[in-house]
Amino acid sequence: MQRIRLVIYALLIILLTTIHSKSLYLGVFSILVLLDIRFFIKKIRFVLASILVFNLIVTISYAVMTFFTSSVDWEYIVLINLRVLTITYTTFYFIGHTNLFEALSFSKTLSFLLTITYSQIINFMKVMTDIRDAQISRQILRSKKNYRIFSSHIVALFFTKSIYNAKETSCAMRARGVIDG
Amino acid sequence: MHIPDGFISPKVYIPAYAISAGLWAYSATRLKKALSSETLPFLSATTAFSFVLMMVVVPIPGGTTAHALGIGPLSILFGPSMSFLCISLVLLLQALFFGNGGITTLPINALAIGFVGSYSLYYTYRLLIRYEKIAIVISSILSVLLAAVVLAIILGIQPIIGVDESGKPLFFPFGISVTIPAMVVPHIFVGVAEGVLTLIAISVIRRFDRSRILNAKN
Amino acid sequence: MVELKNVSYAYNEKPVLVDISCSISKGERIVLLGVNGCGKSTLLKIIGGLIFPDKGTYTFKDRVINRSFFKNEEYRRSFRRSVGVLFQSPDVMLFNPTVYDEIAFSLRQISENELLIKEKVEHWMDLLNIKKYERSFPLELSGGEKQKVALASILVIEPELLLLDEPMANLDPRSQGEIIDLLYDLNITTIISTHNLSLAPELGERTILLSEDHRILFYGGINELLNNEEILINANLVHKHRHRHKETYHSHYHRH
Repeated sequence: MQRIRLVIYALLIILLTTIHSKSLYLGVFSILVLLDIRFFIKKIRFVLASILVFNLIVTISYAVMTFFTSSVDWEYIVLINLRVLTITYTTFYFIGHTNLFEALSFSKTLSFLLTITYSQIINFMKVMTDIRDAQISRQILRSKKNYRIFSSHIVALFFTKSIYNAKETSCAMRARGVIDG
Repeated sequence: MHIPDGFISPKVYIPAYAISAGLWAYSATRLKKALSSETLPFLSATTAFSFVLMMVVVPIPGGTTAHALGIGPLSILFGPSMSFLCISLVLLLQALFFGNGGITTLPINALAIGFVGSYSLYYTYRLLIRYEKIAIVISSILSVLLAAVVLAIILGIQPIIGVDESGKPLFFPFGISVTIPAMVVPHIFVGVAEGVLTLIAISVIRRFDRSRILNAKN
Repeated sequence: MVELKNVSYAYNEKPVLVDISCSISKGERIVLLGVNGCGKSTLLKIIGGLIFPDKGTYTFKDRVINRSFFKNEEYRRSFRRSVGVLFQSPDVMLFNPTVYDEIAFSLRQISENELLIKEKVEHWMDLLNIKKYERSFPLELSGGEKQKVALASILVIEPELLLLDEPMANLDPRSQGEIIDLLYDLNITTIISTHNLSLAPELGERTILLSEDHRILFYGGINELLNNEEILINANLVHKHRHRHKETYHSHYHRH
């Protein structure tokens, strides 16, 4: 089921980038919003955070350029922005409704790799939050010299953790017969 | 810079996926020969490490800050194959698992930053290795700029490749004459940040040279 | 010294602290009790000025501590000097290439007198029995040794308030004893979080007990709490399981 969702998602992305129709984009966007109306506000905030900067730069630059050379093609501006919004919303919808680890389990290696990496990243991000708090709590004087000390610490700590995690994971996988050696 | 989905034509991203997939498979095979049963755990741990490197904010001259890409430490310490795979994994995780979007731009970023960036950094560093600190800085800036040029070219050809019957662009509207300066100039700062982070990382990590693992070169 | 009024905090829309109110005077030693996940670390981070409540107020020495407070550089510096935070994992606190530099780090931000710094650093290294690691790289030490280095690095600037998040977690029994004696002799205001009931009476006189639903379940004398089995059961701080006393197997609520 999850893999079917993955295939549908991939096909939908190809469709949205092949057929250039505002009606299609509006149609797909509306259906996805209605299917998940409770989470619309939360999702749209993430979507806009993801696309706003780049889209604004392109839109404003294009509008200014065409204003001075010919006339502003508002149809085109609406088309590209709608396409970007729809594709990005589709991706967020898909992520929110799919067990991605299961969907990508067509390859055992990829599945293990993603699961192990993802859990390490989550763990690292928690540690990173604590590190930032620790650095804030011990910084009485703001100094550029502290930057080198703090960033060296981050590199050293996570490098050590990575090496350690690699060995531990390797042992655990061997103990469970997942890998040989 | 994060390029959202929708600006790249399928005529570009589908072949880019095919090329990337081939390169991923090739790099993974080379890595497996070097590390055997430790490949998977080591790759996942190094990817988590590179994810963290991308979170480090680097202050650069001029009073501004930038995020490095992490290809410097990865390429120099673990080799360009490893760096390419790690960066690609990070991009996949960012796109799907951390909700940063960019599923159609994933193979393009993987090729530009992961492949071109990592290999150009590594070989430039090796060429200038006699003057190591200079080698690190020059290779970092050069690799980031090359990656930016590749991205700029891919974006810049969209008005030629992705057009309707009347020749009007359907995807990204600006040509190479706009995209190259627009991408390259800001990435000079990213290149400097990359150089700074790589200098710090190499000097710190040398303390931890677990030679058996770090000697798993290409 | 420390006052919390109706403080609440949520993370990703999940409540972490709910309606916390308490007042801590100068010189008090408070034990923050509760099971894992009840909000102890978060409460310490709020008191440490590292995160800010969603609702309610936190006051330190009669000043409201919020984001605006830290925008004033003089207040920020004074607060960071006055409040020392020991994190649950000492790894996150150890930034420097040697133990000596680690302990000297905070002092070097307030004084340039290297002789005075050396005197103070050596005093704390001797007190915590870590002089032999002076030139060692902190991250390569054992868990207990790292904990002692982290503790020395915050005690060296003589903070007015000490916040310790599970300080005994990584320590062997001998080191635990050393730290308990040291904290007793220090005579500074401390808030120590732990889920270890056996150690709690040695760490302070009063306790704040957080429940599993992130509220204050008990706030008062520690001995009073330890005699109240009903509250301890409600807070999931005691358990029962089959065990043997000589030849008899039975089960009753107890703590280890």
